[in-house]
Amino acid sequence: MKRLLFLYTLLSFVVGYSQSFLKIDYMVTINTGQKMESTLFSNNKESVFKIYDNRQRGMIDLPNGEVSFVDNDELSKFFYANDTISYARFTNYEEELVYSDSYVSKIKWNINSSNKRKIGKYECVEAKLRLNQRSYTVWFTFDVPQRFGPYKLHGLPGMIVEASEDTGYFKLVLAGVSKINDLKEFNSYKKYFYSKKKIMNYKDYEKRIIDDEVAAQMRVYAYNKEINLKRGNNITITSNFNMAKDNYLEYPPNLISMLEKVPK
Amino acid sequence: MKFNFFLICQIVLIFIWKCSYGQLIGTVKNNKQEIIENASVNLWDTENKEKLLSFVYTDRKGQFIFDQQSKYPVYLEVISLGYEKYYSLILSQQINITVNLKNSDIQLDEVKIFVENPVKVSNDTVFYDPKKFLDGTEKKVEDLLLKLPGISVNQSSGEIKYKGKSIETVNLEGDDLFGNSYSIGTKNISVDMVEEVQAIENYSANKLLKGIESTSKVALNLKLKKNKTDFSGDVILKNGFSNKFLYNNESTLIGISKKFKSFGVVNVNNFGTDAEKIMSFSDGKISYQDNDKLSSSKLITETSTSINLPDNRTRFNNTKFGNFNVIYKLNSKISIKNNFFIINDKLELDDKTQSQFLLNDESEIETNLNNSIINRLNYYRFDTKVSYFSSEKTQFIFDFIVKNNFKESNIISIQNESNLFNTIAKTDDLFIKGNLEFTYKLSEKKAFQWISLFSSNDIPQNFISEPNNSSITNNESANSNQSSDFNKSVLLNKAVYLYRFIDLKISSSFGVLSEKNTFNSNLLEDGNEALGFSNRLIYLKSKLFGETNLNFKFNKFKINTQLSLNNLFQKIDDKLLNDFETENDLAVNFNTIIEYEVNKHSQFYFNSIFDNNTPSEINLFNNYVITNVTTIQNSIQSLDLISMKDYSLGYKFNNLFKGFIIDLNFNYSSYSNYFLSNSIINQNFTSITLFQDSSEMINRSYTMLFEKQFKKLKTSVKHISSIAYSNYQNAIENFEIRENKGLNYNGNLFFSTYFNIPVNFENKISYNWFQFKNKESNPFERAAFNNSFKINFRPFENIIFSLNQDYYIPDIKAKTKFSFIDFTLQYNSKRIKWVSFNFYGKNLSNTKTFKQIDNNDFSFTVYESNLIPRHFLLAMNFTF
Repeated sequence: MKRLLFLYTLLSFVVGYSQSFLKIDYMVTINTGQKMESTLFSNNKESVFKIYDNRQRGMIDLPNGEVSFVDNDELSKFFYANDTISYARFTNYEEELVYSDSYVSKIKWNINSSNKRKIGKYECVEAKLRLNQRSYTVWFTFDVPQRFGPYKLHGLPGMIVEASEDTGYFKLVLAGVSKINDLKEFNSYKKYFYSKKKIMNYKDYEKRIIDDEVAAQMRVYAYNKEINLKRGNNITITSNFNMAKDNYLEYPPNLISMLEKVPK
Repeated sequence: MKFNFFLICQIVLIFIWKCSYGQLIGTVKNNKQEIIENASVNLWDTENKEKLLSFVYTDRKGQFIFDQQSKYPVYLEVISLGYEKYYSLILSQQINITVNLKNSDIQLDEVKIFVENPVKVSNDTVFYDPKKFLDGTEKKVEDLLLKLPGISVNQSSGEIKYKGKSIETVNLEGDDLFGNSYSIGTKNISVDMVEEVQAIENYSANKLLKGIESTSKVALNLKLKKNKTDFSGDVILKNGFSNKFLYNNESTLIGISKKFKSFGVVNVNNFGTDAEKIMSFSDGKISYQDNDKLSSSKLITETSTSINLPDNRTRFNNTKFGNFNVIYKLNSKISIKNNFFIINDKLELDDKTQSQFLLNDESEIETNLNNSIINRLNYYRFDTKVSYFSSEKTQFIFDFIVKNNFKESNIISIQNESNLFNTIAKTDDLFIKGNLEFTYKLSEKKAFQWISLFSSNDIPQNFISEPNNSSITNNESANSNQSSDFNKSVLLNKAVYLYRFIDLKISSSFGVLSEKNTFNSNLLEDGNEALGFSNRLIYLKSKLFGETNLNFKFNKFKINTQLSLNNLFQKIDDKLLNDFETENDLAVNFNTIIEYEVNKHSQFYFNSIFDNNTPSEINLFNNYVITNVTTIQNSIQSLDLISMKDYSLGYKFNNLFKGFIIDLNFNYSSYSNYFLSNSIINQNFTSITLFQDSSEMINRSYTMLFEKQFKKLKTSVKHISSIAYSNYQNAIENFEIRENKGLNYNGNLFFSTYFNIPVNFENKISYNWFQFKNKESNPFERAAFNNSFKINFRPFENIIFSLNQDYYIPDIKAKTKFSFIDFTLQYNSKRIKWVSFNFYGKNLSNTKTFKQIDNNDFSFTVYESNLIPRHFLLAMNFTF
């Protein structure tokens, strides 16, 4: 029986990977204006999306002269998806967040097939999606059948050529596509999720985001009180809670209302 | 019965509904009847694909199912990579369609779909992707910068210009590690470490003044590859032989972490380096604070003419060079930057100068001088900069620089093939500068600054000659010792208020500058002081000034004006004569730049300058100083202000993407009280006297620069032309002003191929033509020609063979030609990435001397110097 199981596993592994993999490269521009490379590895059964974000954690000067805080580590951000579930990994307040999302039922693309545009050599069609508090506009091509897209933009009838989040969280454009045989990188990211003992589900992820942001807001208020006491000031901080959303691709719908409730 | 009727009706209706709203099921296979998984199956409403009705992907069995297709007929489209598209009309529901896809010749291979633009622009920053510009032969960052559009590099000094403007600094990962000695970084950082080059316009070094200060400064930023942001570096061992063993060994180290950034380089070599040149550009930068000169002067020249060939052809030196730069961030408020430089050098050189002078009476004098030179140099410099943010709105920056440059030049000269002199020229240059800058950001639109600066520069010099040049003093002596010592100390305090209102930026400053210069010189012949060769002067200058700078945009106009009122006090105290002279002036200086932007690539500009300035200390000594074995110099002292009016009108067109640059400029300037030189020339020496001329002198010049890259037929062609016409004045013998006209054409044509074959070519032609005219003599004309041809042969990805020939004709009429042939073989191991090899053969034609010709309106000089003969070198480059 064990042998049979082993043979079955081996066979399914070979069959699973006999489907050729595409390496789809995108150039991502994030909300700070910085550009970074990213790659989607997909065989149309499962996919890994990796953003090559080399920035170190800390304050950085942006090209436009502004200053921004970067939360990042060496592993940075990557995603894995199969036909039922997706996983994501990134860092928040110096801690790793790994969570899953049963995304299939949530994704309802609105394909506007009359809205066409040629991008590079591809005839593209516009599609829109509302998912986990963000709205996306993408341009995809039927020429390359590809059900997986960057981030969680899965389930379209073709490859995404250009995508953007409507508030400017990111914009990405296709840089190149090629077939690959070397799956070392794909496997390493996939294995990362499969070997993780504890992965939050999406509800827990939402709770965690609220906990983290509420704690951060409390720290800000406490610091302000301390400064007021030291200097004898009476300065009240007015925070722009909307900025909290800028840190996350996905965030709970009640994030702002929870932050507004944090006692000053 | 009724029930049965309704039941039958329902069954009929369901049947009808099922017929028109039923399932569509099928299987996708290839022509070998193998199932195709993950094919995209789309249902369209019309043949023209106006509306996508539904879509699915085929499952593991190659099957697709549309469960509740609501409308028929539909168009079924099936797409899978490697197969031709399938498209068919489906009239009604079907549950067993088999779609056979035909193999397609079009395969998805390693194809880049979009060619990324190598240059991207975002706000004030231009991003260059190095990968798009490198051909594999580049070693250092400077080699890369030379290939980037809009950036030019003076390879001799290391100065970098972006769109014709000298850059402020080169940042490393956003931090100004090098300051004004950025060329150390660009000349030594390996090009393999760089991920991206960014050119930043409107650069503010002071972060608190961003958006408030009016700045036209430009800076570059080097973004390093991710794996290069810890500790990395390289070691280059380049050794070989010529008529002696040659070595040039270098090691660099970059260390980058959250807390600190550092770069260090150590170089030891015995050929091909002008160590002083490495620092000359940076030293020049620290010698000025705005328009006020902080460095003192020197009269005695230690070195002879420099030859216009790359240093790696000309110099037998013995150099040890070390540099270490570090920025350390103690915490979020304090950062400390240190730069340390050390150079030790010994240069051996033989040269020969033949000069022909045409005097006012049309008589000619010919002289010649043969030199055998040994130059020694000991250079140290230490810079430190402490930045302290005491709060989010206040910053203190303290800068301190100390530099000592000791030079000794031992020359054995034979003048006119008869007089032999053994001379030693010594210079000991000590420069100290301290600068405190306090910035307080009052609001987002207002800021206040206080700047205090102190500097001191002492340059004692000696020129010892055995025997003396007796024709200078008419005394014969076994030895003579000319001493010369300029000393300058400067103290500056100023307050600046900066304000921004919409697009109007204003800065107003008020301050005091005090300057003290002393100059002592004398000449001892056999220990006795020579008459007429001593100076003892104290020159004091103080400036009380107020300045206002306005910068604003109005529609397509950009206007920058600067008005300064200066109360100038000068006093010169001659300690030998016990006499002094003072001068008090109110000087108004006004500078305006008006730019009109035609479109984002082109602009017209007009620049006017009205400037009144005090004379330099070098124009204020009356008695002669021997500056080298054949030259003496003095001046006719005057404290009158030098006035200048300068107008420039021009047009610039700059399109980086198309590699197209035009720069047209017309300049008109007039001077009064300008210091001119009067030269008295005889067989044995030249006497130069600087004197002020009160009459108005007018200069005009026209320059035209045209650069265009054509990228047709896999060839890049670039052409740069510049024409300059100018008037200038001088005097020979009798202090009568000679009106001269100079005309110069410089043309460069560069082409390079980038064929998809292993062989590519590069060629650069330079043509330079000069003409000098005046009423007194016939026009002087000279044309020079230079051609560099290079073949790059890349039979394999990791092997590059380059062969090049440099061909020089310094004077086309004289028909003297020089040719240099070199090759380089470069090998990079595919498996071992940390080592690469280069084998060089240089000057294969074994040219041993080079003649350089310089001329002006009254002299024609042929300068001849020895070269490094044929040599071979093996370089091993280790990276870590």
